Amino acid sequence: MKSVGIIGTAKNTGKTTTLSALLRSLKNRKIAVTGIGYDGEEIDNITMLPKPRLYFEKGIIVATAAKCILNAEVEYKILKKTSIPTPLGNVFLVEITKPGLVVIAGPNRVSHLKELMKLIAGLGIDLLLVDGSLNRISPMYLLDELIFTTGGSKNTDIKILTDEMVTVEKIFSLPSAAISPDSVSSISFVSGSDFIPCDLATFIDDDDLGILKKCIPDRCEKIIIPLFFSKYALTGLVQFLKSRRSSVAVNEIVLLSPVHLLLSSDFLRLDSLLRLLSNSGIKFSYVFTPRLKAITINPFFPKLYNYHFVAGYLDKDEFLRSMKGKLSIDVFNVKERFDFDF
Amino acid sequence: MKKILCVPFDPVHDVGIKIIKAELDKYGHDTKLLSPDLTPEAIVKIAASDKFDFILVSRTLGYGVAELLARFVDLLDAAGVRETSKIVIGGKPITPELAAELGFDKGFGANSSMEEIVAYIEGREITLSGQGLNRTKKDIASKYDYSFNNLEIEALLGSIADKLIDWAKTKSSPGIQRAVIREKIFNATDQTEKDSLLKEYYALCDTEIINANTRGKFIKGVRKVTGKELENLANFIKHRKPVDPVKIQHADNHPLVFKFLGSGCPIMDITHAKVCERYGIDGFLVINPSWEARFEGLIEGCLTHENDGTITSFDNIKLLRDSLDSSTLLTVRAHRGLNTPETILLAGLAGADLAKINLVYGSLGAGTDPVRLAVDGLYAIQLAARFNMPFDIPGNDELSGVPAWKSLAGLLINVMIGKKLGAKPILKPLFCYGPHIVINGLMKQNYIDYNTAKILALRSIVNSPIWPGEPIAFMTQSEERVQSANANSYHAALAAGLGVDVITVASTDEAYSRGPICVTSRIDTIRAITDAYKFVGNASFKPTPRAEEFTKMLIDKITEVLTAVEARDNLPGAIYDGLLGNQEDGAYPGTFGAGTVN
Amino acid sequence: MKRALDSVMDAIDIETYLVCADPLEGKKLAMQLGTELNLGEIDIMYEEFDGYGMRVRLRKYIYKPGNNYLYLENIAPEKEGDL
Repeated sequence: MKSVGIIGTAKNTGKTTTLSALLRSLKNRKIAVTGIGYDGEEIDNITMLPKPRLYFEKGIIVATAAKCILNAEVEYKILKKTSIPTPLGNVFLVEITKPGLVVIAGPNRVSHLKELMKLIAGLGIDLLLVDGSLNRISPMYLLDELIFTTGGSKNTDIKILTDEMVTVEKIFSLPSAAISPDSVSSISFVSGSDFIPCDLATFIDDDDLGILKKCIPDRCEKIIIPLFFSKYALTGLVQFLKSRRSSVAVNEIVLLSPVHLLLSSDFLRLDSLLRLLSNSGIKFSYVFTPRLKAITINPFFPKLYNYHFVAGYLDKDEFLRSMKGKLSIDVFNVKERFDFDF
Repeated sequence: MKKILCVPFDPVHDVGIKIIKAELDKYGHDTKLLSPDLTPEAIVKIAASDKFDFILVSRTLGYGVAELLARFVDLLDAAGVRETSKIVIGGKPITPELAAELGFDKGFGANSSMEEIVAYIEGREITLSGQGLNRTKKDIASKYDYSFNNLEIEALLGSIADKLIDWAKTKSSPGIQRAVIREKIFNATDQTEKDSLLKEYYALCDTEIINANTRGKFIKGVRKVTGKELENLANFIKHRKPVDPVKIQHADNHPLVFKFLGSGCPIMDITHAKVCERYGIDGFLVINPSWEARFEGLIEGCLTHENDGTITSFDNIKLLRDSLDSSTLLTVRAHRGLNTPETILLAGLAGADLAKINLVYGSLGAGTDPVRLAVDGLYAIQLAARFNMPFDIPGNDELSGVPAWKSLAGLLINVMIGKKLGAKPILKPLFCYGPHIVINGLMKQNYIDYNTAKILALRSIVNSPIWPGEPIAFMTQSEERVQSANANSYHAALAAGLGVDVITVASTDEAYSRGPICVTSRIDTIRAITDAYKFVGNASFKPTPRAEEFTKMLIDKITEVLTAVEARDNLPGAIYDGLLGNQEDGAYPGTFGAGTVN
Repeated sequence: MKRALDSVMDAIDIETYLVCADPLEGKKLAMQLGTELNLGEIDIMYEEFDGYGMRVRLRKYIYKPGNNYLYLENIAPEKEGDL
C-alpha cells in the first residue's frame, strides 16, 4: 500500500482542493482516505468564509470520526469501529456505498496514524491519502510521499513563499540513513556496530545540549537523534562538533525525518540552519525519507477588510512562474486542473 | 488523582486556566501552572520531563493563532508527549470541530461547565437523568404546615371558612354535576354506560359545547390537531434532547421559576416549553381562552385555537404533561368560569401537578357569579386535595384598583378553606405595579418596599408557600425588550432575596398585545433571571423603613377587611357587598352562572 | 426614493430562533437567512445551540467606520421657508 500525505503550510492553502483533485484523478484505484485533523466543512471555523467540500465516490474507504460519518450525506457500510479517539468520537472505517460529501476527522497523532495505516493495509488498499490539517505535519513522516500546499494565506509575498519552498525542497533532498526505524528509540551514539544510548527525553535547550555533549563517546562516528529537537540545540551541537573536529570524529547526524527538521524552526530560519549543516562537513540523513512529490499553490488568501474576511488573490501567473523557476519538483496551481501520477 | 500541566498559551489572558486549576486542586488533583510567557519549546520540554496525564492549554483564538497552536501540538507529538498525556484545548470559541482541526484530544468552549471538565479529567461520564435535564421534581408545599402566627386573623378566617363550607354543604351546580359525571365516564368500562353518561353530561352543557363535541362544529378559530401534527411533535421530542441544560437557581434556596403557556396551540406551547426547559424553567402554567369560562361544559379532544389561550381539554393537558420532562411542573388554571370543578378533575386525571383556584378573584375580576364560584370552588379544592395537587391563589389587584390588602385578605380566605379541606394552598401575592399602587404613589420611590411588605405581611400571618406573580414585574414592562428583561431580573432578584418559593415570569413580549409570544422573548427573561439570581446569590435588597410601615398597614387593613367579611353570613354575600373589592376599586361581581346553583 | 436601509445608522440586528439538529446546521441556516432576506453576508454575533435549535443574533452592517453615511446627506432643509 502506498501512502500520500497533503501538508498545508497554513490554513486555506489548498489542502482540500488538492485532495479533491487527487480523488478525481484516482477514480479507478482502490483508495482509502483519512485526515489528521478536520476537513471538508462548509464554513471556515475562524473566517466564516465558505470552504471547498470533499466528495467521495462509491467504493472509497474513508476513516473518519463517528460524528462526521453519522451526519454525512452519504450511504456507507461500516467496516470497523476503531478505538482511535478524536474530539468527535472514535474513528470509523467505512466503505462508501452511495456517493456524497463527508467531513474527514481522523487520527491526530503518530501512534494512532500508525495503527490506522496497519488496519487499512489489511483491507487490500492500493493507495492511502492522508489529509493534513492547518499546518500540522508531525505524523506525516510515516507516509511514502508528501504534497505541500502553500499560498497567500501563509504570506502575501511571493518571493518569501518561493524561498520557503526552496528550503523545504532542500530539506527533503537529504539522504536516507539506511537505519531500521525499529533499532532506534532514543538518542544514540554509533561507534562501529555499537549503539550507545543517551538518556534525553528531548533535545531542546542548553541543558540538553550540555548533557549530550558530555555523553559523546570517543570514536563516535554517528549521532542518531530520533526525537524532537530544536534548531537551537542542533545548531549548538553542529557548532560544537565543528570546533572539536580534531578530537571528535562524528561524521554523520541522523535525524528521524525531514518533518522533524521542519518542526525545529520556522521555514525562513531553517535556511540558515541548512547552510550551517552543509558547511559543517557533517553528513545529515534521515531514518524515514518520505518523498516530496509536488507542491501546489493557492493564490487565495482571506483578507481582513472592515472587520470582515473577504477573498484576496495573489497574481497566480507570477506565483507559478516564481515557484517553477526555483524548484525542480512539480508545481501546480490548485485552482487549475492537474493530474498526479501515482 | 491526576497529574495535570496547565498551560496559558496566551501571553496576557490566563485567568481562565487559573480558575480551572483552582477547581481541579479542590478535587485533589496534582496541577502545575506554567507562566504565560514560555516558548512552545520550553513548554514541550517541561511536558516531556514528567509524565502528565493531561496538558490543558488555554488560548483565545484569532487568525494566525490556529497555526501557532497546531505547531505546538506537532511539537508535543514529535516529542512523544502524546503517548502519555492527553492534550486539551480550552477557550471561548472552541468547539469539538475546532479541537479536531487543531489536533487536540478534547476541546472545551464557552458552554462547557466545570463539572464537564472535571468529569473528563477523572474519566467519568456525566450522567443525566430525566431526558437530560438532570433534576428532580420539586414539592412546593411540602415544608409548610399552614399554622397561623396571627391568632386574631386565624380566628376570623376560621369562622369565614367554616360558614362557607357549611353554607355550601347542600348546594350543587351544573359544574359540579358535570365533574361527577365526567369522573364516572373516565372510570366506566362499558361503552353503553359511557354513552349514557355522556348524554347526561350534554344535558348540562351549552349548545356550542354539544355541537363541538358531537358534530365537530367548533367555535371560530378552533380545530382538531391532526395525527400528522402530533406525529411531527412526537418526533421533535424524541429526536431532540436538551444540550448543556441550564439551572436558573444559583443558590439552593432560590425560587423555582414558572412560565405561562397558552399560545392557543398545544404544539407551539410544547415546542416553546421544551426550549424553556433547557434554559432552566421549572414549571408552566397553562392559560386557557377566556371564552372557555363562559360556556357550561368543556370541548374534548386535542385542539388548537388561533387566538390567545390553549384549550384545557383532557387531551391537551395530557399532551402537555406527557411532552414535558418528568421533572417539570404543570399548573392548570381553574380560578374562574363555569368549569372549575371539571377542569381540576381533568387536570388531576391527566397528571397535572398544580392548579389555580381563587374563589374571590374569579368572581370579582373574571366574571363568574360569586355564589356559583364559591360552590364550584369548594368542590374544586376538595378535588385538588384528592389528587394531591397544591393550588395557587392569584391576587386580583393587578388590573383593577383593588387595594392589596383586600386582595391579600381574599388569598388568606382561600388558604384557610384549603387548610380545612385538606388541600395545599399557595399564596400568590402580585409583584405588580397595579392601578391602586399607581394612584396612591405606593411604589413611586422604589419598587422594593411595597412588594417586600406584601411578603412580610403574609409571612407574619401564616406559614404557607408564597409564589409571587402573575407574572412578576407586571405593568412595569414595556415593549422594549431590554427594559422588559431588566424589569424581570430586578423583581426576580427581589423575590430571591425575600426567600419566596416560586415566581412566575413573563416574556419580553409581555407588553405587546398584537401577536403571540415568541420563543426568543421567553428566553430573554429566563436569561435575565438566571443572571439576576447569580447577582444576588444569598444577599438581598435592603428596603427603606417604609417597608415596615407598609407591612403594619397591610396587616391592620387585612384584619379590618376580614372582620367585615366575617360579620356577613357567607363569603359570596361579602363579595356582593364589595368588601373584597367594590365598584370604586374597579371590581364587579361576575354574572356568568348566576342563578345556576341548586 | 429614499431607501429605508440607507437610513439605518449602522446595522440591522436580527434576533431569532432557528430550529436545527446541531450547531453546524444552525450556523448554516443563520448565514442562509441573510441571503434569503436579501441582506447578503451577515455576521453571527451570538449563537447558542440548546438541543432543539439555536438562538441567534445576526447583524448586517449597513455602515461601518469610514463609509459614506447617506443619512447625513440632505439633512439641512431645502429652503428657509421649511423651518
